[in-house]
Amino acid sequence: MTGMITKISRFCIQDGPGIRTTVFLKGCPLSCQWCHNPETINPSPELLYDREKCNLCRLCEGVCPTHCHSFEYGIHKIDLEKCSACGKCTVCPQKALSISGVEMSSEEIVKEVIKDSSFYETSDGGVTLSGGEPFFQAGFCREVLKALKVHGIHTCVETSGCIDLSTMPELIELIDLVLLDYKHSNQHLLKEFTGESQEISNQNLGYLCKINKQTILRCPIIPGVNDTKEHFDGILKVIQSYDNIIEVNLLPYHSLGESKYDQLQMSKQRSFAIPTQKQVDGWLNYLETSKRNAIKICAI
Amino acid sequence: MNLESLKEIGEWAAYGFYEGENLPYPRKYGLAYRRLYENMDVRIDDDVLLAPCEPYYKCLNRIEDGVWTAVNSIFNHNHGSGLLVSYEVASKKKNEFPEYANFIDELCADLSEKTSYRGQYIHSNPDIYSIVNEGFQSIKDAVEKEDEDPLFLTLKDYIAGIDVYFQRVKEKLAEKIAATHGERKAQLQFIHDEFSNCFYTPATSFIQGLLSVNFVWMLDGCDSIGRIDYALGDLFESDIESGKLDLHFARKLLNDFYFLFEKMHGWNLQIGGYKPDGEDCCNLLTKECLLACGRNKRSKPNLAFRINKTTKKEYIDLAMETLALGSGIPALYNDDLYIQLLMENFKKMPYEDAVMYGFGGCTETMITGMSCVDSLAGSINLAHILGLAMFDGFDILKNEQTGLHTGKFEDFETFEDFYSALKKQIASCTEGYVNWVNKGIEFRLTDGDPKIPRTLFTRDCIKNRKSFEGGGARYNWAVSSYDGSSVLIDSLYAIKSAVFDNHLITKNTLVEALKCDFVGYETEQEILKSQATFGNDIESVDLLGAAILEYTWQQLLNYKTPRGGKHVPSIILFTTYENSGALVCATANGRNSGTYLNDSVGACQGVDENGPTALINSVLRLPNKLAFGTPVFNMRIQKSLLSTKNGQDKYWSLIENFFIRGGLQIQISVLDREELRAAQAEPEKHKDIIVRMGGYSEYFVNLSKGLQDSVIKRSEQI
Repeated sequence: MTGMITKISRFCIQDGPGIRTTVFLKGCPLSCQWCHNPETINPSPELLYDREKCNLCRLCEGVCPTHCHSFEYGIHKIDLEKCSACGKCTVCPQKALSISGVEMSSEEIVKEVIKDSSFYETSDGGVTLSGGEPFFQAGFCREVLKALKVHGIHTCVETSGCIDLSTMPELIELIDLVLLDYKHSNQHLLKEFTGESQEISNQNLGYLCKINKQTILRCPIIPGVNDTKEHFDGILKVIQSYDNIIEVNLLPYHSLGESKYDQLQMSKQRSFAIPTQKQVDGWLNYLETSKRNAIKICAI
Repeated sequence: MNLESLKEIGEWAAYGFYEGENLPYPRKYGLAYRRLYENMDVRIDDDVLLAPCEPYYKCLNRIEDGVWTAVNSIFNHNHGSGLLVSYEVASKKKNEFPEYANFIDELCADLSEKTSYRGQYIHSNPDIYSIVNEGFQSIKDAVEKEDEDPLFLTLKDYIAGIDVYFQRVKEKLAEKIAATHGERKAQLQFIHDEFSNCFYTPATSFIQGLLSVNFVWMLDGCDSIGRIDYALGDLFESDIESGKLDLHFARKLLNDFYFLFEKMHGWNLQIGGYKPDGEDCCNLLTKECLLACGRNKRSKPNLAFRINKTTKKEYIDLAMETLALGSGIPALYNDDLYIQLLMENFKKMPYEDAVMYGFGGCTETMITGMSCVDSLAGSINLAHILGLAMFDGFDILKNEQTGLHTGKFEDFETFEDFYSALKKQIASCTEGYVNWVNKGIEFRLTDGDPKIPRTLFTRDCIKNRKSFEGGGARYNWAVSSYDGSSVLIDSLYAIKSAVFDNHLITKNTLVEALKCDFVGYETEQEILKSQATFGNDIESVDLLGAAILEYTWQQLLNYKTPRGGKHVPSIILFTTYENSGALVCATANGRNSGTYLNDSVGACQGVDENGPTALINSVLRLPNKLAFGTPVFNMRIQKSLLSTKNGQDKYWSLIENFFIRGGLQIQISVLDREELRAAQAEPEKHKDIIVRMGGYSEYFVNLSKGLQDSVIKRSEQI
């Protein structure tokens, strides 16, 4: 079996304990308006075009079998309807063209991630599957996790929580630690901004608690969306209700993914402000002083 | 030479030198220093408490910046090199004493002839431990009881000079006290009293110890100092505990010490590591030395923190916090491995000596107070040798045959044929290099400045009745650096892959492309650049590099210096990698002629794309243990990632892993590319940004534009 991967990042220090390698799986059923990895939404390979790097040499035009590149009045146009994401145009000497999404087998992934196994050992780290939504490729996830377990590697999965986890107990068993998104406490706004159902999200919280699966709650701070007392009270309620949650990570919004929307010819629905350090510290402090247990809370 | 005229123009070192001209070697050097110390200005800066300040170093700069008021000297104690002629000062003195213009010209010509190439710049790490624990009097007594041997008469002259100078420092302090009021007066009085009881006798307080260390460091030439926490930690802790020492005052003196290190262009200072009893040395003073780095944010001293299996986490945490502040200090060393390698390489070295290792200059390995290490004896440019192997020993930039005839690249049937030619060039260049270095050392065994201060502050010189330069030290080796290792590795792999294995470029085309510096061969240059590179955890590339470096370093280790020690390899490129690149023609990794090489053992700029774990895996495949002179590994970290405890802990895990698996040393630059670009645009606003360059830290705005660009280009290994 193969899976669709966007990239494998080594030395990730914010995706779970210790030094980790994060495998980004492609495809996500949600459409969070602040998504900073929009190239992981579409489950199929896609062409990315970086306008800033292009010097209009037209090499791509000559090699493209589907003729999707054209040049008019000094503008490089790409007809993505025609593009089969074959990758032939990535010969671009300026590296302006690239393909996001490559098929990999679990063996290939293990071969890559095992290169850092000594770092996992000395730092109590391991491998994190992220995305996209990793459970969107549940069968492949299971295969990869199984293979990692054979090598004794600690496993994390970072999930939006939009897929019912109770339907895949065998897979969940292979995960040492779940990094679970918690994006909004208000069900209507959650639906509006992400397309996610709070019902499934809550079910997953309950299920993970029931099977006592160690979980880190990952909470993005998006100004104008969820930087409200109501939402942070919701976070407090969650961490007080589910004792399998060992840590809360606040993830302040950043704009590093914005250029990718342009590269994918995707329109971003709206822009968000980047929270100031003072705002982040304020919410950290609010959670720290209001929590009733010893749970670790940090911003990353 | 007319001694009266020398007196008139204040040339005291020259006065002593000519006074002893007809006496047996090396008497004139002892007299030169004696007259210098008897007469040179004593400097105690108004805003510094640590007395005295070294008055001579960079005196010209000091005239320019208005700070320097002392009479400067044509015949000057050049740190590291001994007595040398300064033509800049001569020119200034001709203006000052026009009636002596001809005399000064004659003096310069005569002194230059008598001292040319007789003083090789080498770093040192003097014996502060004996001075602190036993006092200089014990060394003085050992010299006094010796016979009338010229060396001992020379040392006696030198000691007489120190005695006078020491008294003059006390007098100067008394003068300052008389002219000062308030808190500073009391502080100076305290320093005066402690200074009066330091140096000659064992230190009984931390302040006495620090004043002694500073005095030795200054006499030696403001170079490097061993483990200050080992030498003074017990005194520091007991003085703090008993209330005898005010922490605030102690911190002020440490600030002064760091200030002087930077001002005098001092080098290395060590902390941590095992003591001779096998216990770890870290103590309260270790912490204070780390805190002083954070407080002062200076490019110097280059603080070297020796970390071993028993170092407590609290010290490591503090080191990581200090690094997060962005000065690139401290550099971290694998204490267990250094000791092991020293004992393996020097069979007769006991554990008690091995644990006293330290560093001189950037990071050249030596034994504190026991060694004369030619550091750096010189460097061997591997990228240049690669060019010789490509062109049958012909240097295409100089347009002359400088190497062996090992065959034309076009005629090699296989990669192995080329590889064999490269090895021959390496062997031949190593032999030529060693002969050159050894010739210099041989000369200095019996002529030139014997380095009198270092003869006193290096163990066994007196016992062996030989000077520091004359081979008197207990350990004598030479550290040489290798430039362009990663350029060599990437080029070798590109040749193997693109030319011999995959036939993407013909041999003739490669030769022509290199000769033309890729002009007209841009496609070929791109092909070469697109080959796999060192630093990305690609086994085939790394192992090819490991094999050639093992061969190269073993070649050097086979040789001995005229003092009997080994030639030890290292990779220490600081700002030199720009200059080294200037001498190297285009290389098969797609690098253009004259452009910079790689920094130390790191990857070529911008080619390591798989992050720090991949880079570490690549570096660890190299035979680092052979290059224990020190293989400098510079890692760049994005500032934001080291700003949290989580980030600091995880970076420490990374470093710990590197050490466990055989890494010797790591230096960390904490950078932010945007900040560096801003500093380039508006240097005035960003004077305090410090980056790690090979073996030491330097202010970013002080680097050349080329080096600044290269620092920005080098990956932040995040």
